[in-house]
Amino acid sequence: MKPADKHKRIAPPTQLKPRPKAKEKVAGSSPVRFGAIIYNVAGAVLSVLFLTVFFQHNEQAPTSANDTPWNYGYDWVKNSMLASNLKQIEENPGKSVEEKYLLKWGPGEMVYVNQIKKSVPDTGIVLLPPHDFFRQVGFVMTQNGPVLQPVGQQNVSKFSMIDIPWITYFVYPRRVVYGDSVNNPLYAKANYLVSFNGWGLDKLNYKVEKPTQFMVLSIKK
Amino acid sequence: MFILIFFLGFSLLSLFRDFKITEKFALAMPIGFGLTSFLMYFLDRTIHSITATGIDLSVSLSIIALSGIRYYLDWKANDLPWKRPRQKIDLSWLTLVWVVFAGMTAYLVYGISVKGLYWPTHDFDAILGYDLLSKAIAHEHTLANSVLTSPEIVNSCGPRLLYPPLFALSNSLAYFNGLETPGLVTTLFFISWAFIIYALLRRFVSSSGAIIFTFLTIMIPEMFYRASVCGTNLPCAIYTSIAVMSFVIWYEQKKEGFFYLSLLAVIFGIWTRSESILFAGGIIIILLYIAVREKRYKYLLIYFACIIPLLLWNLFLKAYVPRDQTGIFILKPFYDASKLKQVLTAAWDIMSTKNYYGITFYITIAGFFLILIANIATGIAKKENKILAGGSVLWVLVYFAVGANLFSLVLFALLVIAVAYVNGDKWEFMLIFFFALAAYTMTFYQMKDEQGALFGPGGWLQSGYKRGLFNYAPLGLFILVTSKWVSWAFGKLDAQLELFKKK
Repeated sequence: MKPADKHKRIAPPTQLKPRPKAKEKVAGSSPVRFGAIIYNVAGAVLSVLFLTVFFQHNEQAPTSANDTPWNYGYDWVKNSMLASNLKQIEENPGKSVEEKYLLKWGPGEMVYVNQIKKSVPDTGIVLLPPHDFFRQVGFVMTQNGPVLQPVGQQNVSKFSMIDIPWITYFVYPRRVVYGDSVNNPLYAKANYLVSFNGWGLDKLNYKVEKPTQFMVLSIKK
Repeated sequence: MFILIFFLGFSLLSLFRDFKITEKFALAMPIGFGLTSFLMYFLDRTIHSITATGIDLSVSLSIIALSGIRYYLDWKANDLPWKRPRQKIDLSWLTLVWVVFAGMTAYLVYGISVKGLYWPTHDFDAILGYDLLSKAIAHEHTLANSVLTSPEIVNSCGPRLLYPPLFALSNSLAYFNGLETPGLVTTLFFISWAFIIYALLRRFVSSSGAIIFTFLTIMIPEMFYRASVCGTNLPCAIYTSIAVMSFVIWYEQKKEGFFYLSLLAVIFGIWTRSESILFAGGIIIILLYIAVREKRYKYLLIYFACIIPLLLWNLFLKAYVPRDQTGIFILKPFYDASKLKQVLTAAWDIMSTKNYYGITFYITIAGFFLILIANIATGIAKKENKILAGGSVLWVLVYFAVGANLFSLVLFALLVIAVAYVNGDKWEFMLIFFFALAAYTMTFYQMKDEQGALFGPGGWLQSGYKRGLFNYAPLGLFILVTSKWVSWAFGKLDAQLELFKKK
C-alpha cells in the first residue's frame, strides 16, 4: 500500500456498523486456556532470566571503554546509584532541606549559606566580599559540590558563593551584591554584610567586640 | 493544584474522541503542565501577576469550559457518556511476561521517584538556571522578575536561564504550593512517561512488546538517572516523543485527534527547549509531502502554529532580558572536514557509551538493518526493492571504503527511508528521526570551539549533546518495536501467551 493511500477519506466507524445498545456486552474475555499457562510460565522464567542478566552486577569498575561490560549502565543505575540512594534515604529520614544539602555535599560552603539565611530577613540585601577576596580565601567549588578548596587545585570550577546566580539561588529572596560591584544599584542599599577574615568591618557604623572568621552582620545598628 | 492540572490535561484530551481512557490518564499530567504554563504566561502578560489563586482559578475555569464543550458535543450527538454501552473487562493483554516486566518497571519508577522527592535541587544547570527562575516567579509573581532582569545574573547564568519557560513555570507551581523543592514536578513527569510509552506503543504492538520496550525506555541509564534530577531534557524528550509518536499514529491510522495531540506536544516541547523545533521541521516535511501529493494544505498550515511559542519567548526575552550578544554559533556556512569528523566521532562515542545510553543506540541500528534487510528480502520481486538492494550493496562498499562519514551516513539514512517508503513500514517515522538527529548533530558542527567549549571535557558535546539525545533514544527504540516485523513477531508471541481470549 502506498502511503498516500492511507489518507483517503473513509467513513467514520459509526457509519459502518450500528452502535450497540446500552449495557450490551461489547467485549470480554473467556477463561484461562491451559496451553497458554505453560507458555506463560516459560515466558516468565525467560523474562526473569533476561532481567537477571540485564542487571548482573559487575564487581570491578572498567578501566577503559573497551572492557566496559554491555550492561554497565543498567547495572550502575540499579545496583549502585539507586540502591545506595535508597539506603541513604532510609537511614536519614525526616531531614530538613539544609540537612540534606549537608548530607549531599558535606559541611562546606553550605554552612555559611545557612548562616546567611538565618541572620538576614527575606527582604535583606547582603553585601558580600569582592570576587578577588573570595578567590584568595579559596571559595571555589569542586565537581562534587561546594567545599572549600585551595585556589589552583585541579578539577575546580567557578561555581560557588563567588558566582552570583549560585548564591542568589540559596539565599533567595534575599538579594546579594559583591564588594567590587560599586556601580550596582543594590550596593548602596545593602543592609547586611558578610565579613570574612575581618573584611568589611570598616563598613559598619559600630564596632564588633569579638570578631570571628565568618560573620553575618547588620551594617547599621 | 496538581490534581487540577491533571484534570485540565484530561479535559483537554477528552475534547477528542480518538483517545482511549488509558491514553488520557497517561497523557493528562504533561499536557496539563503544558497548558498551565501557557495560562501562567497569559496571566503574566495580561494582569502582570502570577499567583496561586490566579492559577487555581484559571485552571478551574478552563476545566469547566473544556468539559462544557465536551458535554455539549456529546449532548448534540445524543451520545452522553452514561448512555453508552458498558465495556466488559478485557484481560486478553495480560500475560506473565507482562507481569514480570511491568513489576520491574514499577519498582524502578518507584525507586527513582523516592530519590527525586528526597533530594533538593543540586544540579548546576537548575541552580544556575530554571530553578532559580522558578523561585523568583513564585516569590515575585512575575516572569520579568529580579532574576531575569538582572544583567549580572543573566550573563553569569548563560543560556540555561533563558530556556523557554515551561519547566521553570511548572517548577514554580511546587513553590506556589509551599513545597521547599520542586522534585514533585519531575517525578510526575517521569511517572506519566512510563504510562505514556506503554499507551502509545500499544497502538502498534501487542502488550508484551509494549511492556518490554517500556522497560527498555525507562531504563535508558542517563535518562533514568536524570529522572531524579531537576532538568529540562527529560520533559522535553517526553513532549517530543509524544509529538512524533502521535504524528505517526495519525499518519498510519488516520486518527484525527492524534494530529492535534502531536501539534500540542511539539508546542509544549518547544516551550520547554527550543531545539524541539527540529522535530517540528521533520513533521512539516511530511506534511509538505501530503500537501503537494494530495493537495491537502490544511494540516501543513495548522502545524505552522508550532512556531508561536518560539516567537512569544524570543519577543519576551528581547523586551525584558538584558543579554550580552556574544553568540556561540558560527553564523556562515563552512566546510571543515576535520571538525565534521570530530563531531561525528564524538557523537557516536556518546551514543555508544554504556553508562549513558546502554545498548539503546545499538538496538536502534539493529532496527534499521532489520527494516532494510527484511523488507528488501521479502519484497525482492518488486522492481523498486531490486534497485534498493543494489543501493544497499553500494552502501556496504562505500562504508568499507570510507567508514562512517557524512556521505555514508546520509546514504544509509536515505536507503532506510526509501525501503520503508516502498514497503509501507513507517517511512515518515524514519524521516523525522533522521532529519532531526542530523540537524541536531550539525548544530554542534556550527558551534565555535573557543577554549575547548565544544570538544573539551564538560564542553557542549559532552554535556549538551549528551542530554539532547534524550529526544532520540526513546524514538530509536520505538522505531524497532513499531516496525511491521517486530510488531508482527510480538503479535504471534502474544497469540500463544494469551490467557484470556477476547470475545
